[in-house]
Amino acid sequence: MEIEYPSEEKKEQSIANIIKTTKPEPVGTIRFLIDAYREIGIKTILRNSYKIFILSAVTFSLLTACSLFKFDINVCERRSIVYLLSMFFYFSPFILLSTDFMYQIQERPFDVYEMQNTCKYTARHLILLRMPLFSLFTILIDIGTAVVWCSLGGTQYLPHIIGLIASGVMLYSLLNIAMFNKFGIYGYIGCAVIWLGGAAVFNAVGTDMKYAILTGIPVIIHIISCAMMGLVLNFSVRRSYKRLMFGY
Amino acid sequence: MLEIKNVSKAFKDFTVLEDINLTFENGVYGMLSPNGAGKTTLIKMIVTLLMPDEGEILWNGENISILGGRYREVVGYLPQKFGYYRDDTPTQFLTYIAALNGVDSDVAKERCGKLLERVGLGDVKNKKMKKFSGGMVQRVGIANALMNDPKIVIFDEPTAGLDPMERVRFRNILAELGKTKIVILSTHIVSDIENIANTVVMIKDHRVHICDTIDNILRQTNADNLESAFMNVYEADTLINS
Repeated sequence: MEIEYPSEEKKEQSIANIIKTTKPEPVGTIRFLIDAYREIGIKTILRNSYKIFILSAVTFSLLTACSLFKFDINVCERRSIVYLLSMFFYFSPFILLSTDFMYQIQERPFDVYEMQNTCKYTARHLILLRMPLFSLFTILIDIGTAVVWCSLGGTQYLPHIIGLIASGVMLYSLLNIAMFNKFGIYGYIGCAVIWLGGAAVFNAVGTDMKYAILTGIPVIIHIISCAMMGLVLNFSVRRSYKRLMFGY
Repeated sequence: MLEIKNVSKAFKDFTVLEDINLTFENGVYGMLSPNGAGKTTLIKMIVTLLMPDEGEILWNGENISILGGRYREVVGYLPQKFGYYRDDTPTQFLTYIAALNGVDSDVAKERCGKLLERVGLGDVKNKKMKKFSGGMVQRVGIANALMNDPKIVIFDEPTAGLDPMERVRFRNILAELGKTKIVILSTHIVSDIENIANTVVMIKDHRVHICDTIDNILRQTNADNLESAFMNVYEADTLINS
C-alpha cells in the first residue's frame, strides 16, 4: 500500500493554521483599556489623584493671575468674565491632563519606574489609563461650572459653553490619548502644540489679538516647562524611558 | 521553558554580552560571575527592561517582546536596587504592584499577608517603609517578586543587606520555589548558590563560559568547592591583567 506523505507546503500550512487558531489575538486599545480597568481597579489607577486636583487648581490660578495682572483686565466687565470662563473651559482638560502627566513622570523614583516596567501593566499603561478618567473629571467640573454660571444669569452663553465642553474637552482628551498611545511623550507634546494653536486661532477669531496673546503666553510657558521637565530631567538621561516614549 | 537564543547586547562601542545561548526549565539557576560581567544586563533583557541588539528571548516558543504584558505577568523580579515608595507600608506597596500585575485585590491581600510572614515582616506590615532598614526593604522586595505567583522568578543580588539568619531563610524559600518554577539567582557571592543551585552559569569575556551542574563544574575546573572553581575560572585573567 502506498502511503501519501504531505508536501512541505501542506505541512507549513497546517502548522500556520494551528498557530492561528491557538495563539491569542492582540487586542485593540479600547478592549485593552476595558480589561485594564477591570483588572487593576479604578481605585489603584487613581492613586494620589487628590494631589493632581490641588496642583491643577494652583496652575490655573497662576495662569489666571498672570493674565489679569499683566494685561490689566477688569474682572467686572462681562467680556472679561466670558474670556476667563472660556479660558477655563478650553484649558481645564489641558491643565488637568498635563499636570497629571508630569506628576506621574516626576513622582516615581527611577527604581520604582523600573519595577513598574516589569509588571503586566507598565508605567506607560498607567499614564494612559488615567487620561480618560481625568477627561471625565474635567467634563464634570466644566458642567458644574456651567451650571453655576447659568444660575448667575449667563444662560445666553450656554450654547457656547456646551460647545466648548463637548468639542474642546472630548476632542482634546481623545486626541491626547490616541497620540500618547501611538507616539509616547512626543505624541503628548504634539497634541499640546495642536491644542495651543487651535486656542490661539479660536481667541483671535472670536475676540481680538490681545485675548489671543493672553491665552497663549501662560500656556506656552506651561508647555515648555512641562516638556523641559520631562525631556531634560528624565528622558535624555535614562535609557529605559524609551518605553515611555515609544512603547513596546 | 525560557530560551535565550544568540542574544547580544552592546552599549555604544562597549560589548557587554555576545552570542548568549541558554535554556531554563524548572529549577534553581545560579548566575555566578564577577562584577561587570553582564549578569544584570542579561537579567534586564529577560525581564524586558532592555531589548537585545541581536537574538531573541522566547517563553514557551514565543518572543517575549511580542508577548509583552502576557509574559511580564508570569515574571517575578527583585532588582539589584529595589525601588519602593517610602511613604507606603509593605501591604500598600505590595498590593499596588500586584494590582499592576492583574492580581485580584482579595487574592493580593491574602497573599501579601502570607508572604510578609514568610519573610519575617508580619509584625511591621502596616508600618511605613521609610522607617525600615536596608535588610527589611530587601525582604519586602523578595515578597514583591512572589506576589503574582510567577512562573519565572529572578533575583539580582538578593542577599545584600540580609543577616545570616535571613540568608538561610531566603535559601529555604529558593529551594522550595525551584521545585515548580524557574528561579534565576544572579550573584557574585558563592555561598548564596552553593547548596541550592541545580545549574550554575558563569559568564566570561561576554559569553557563557560554563553552564553546568556544580559537580561537573568542580570536575572541569579541578576544584574542591565552588569558590575555588570561581577563582580558577576568573583568577587567571586577574593575574594576566595585573
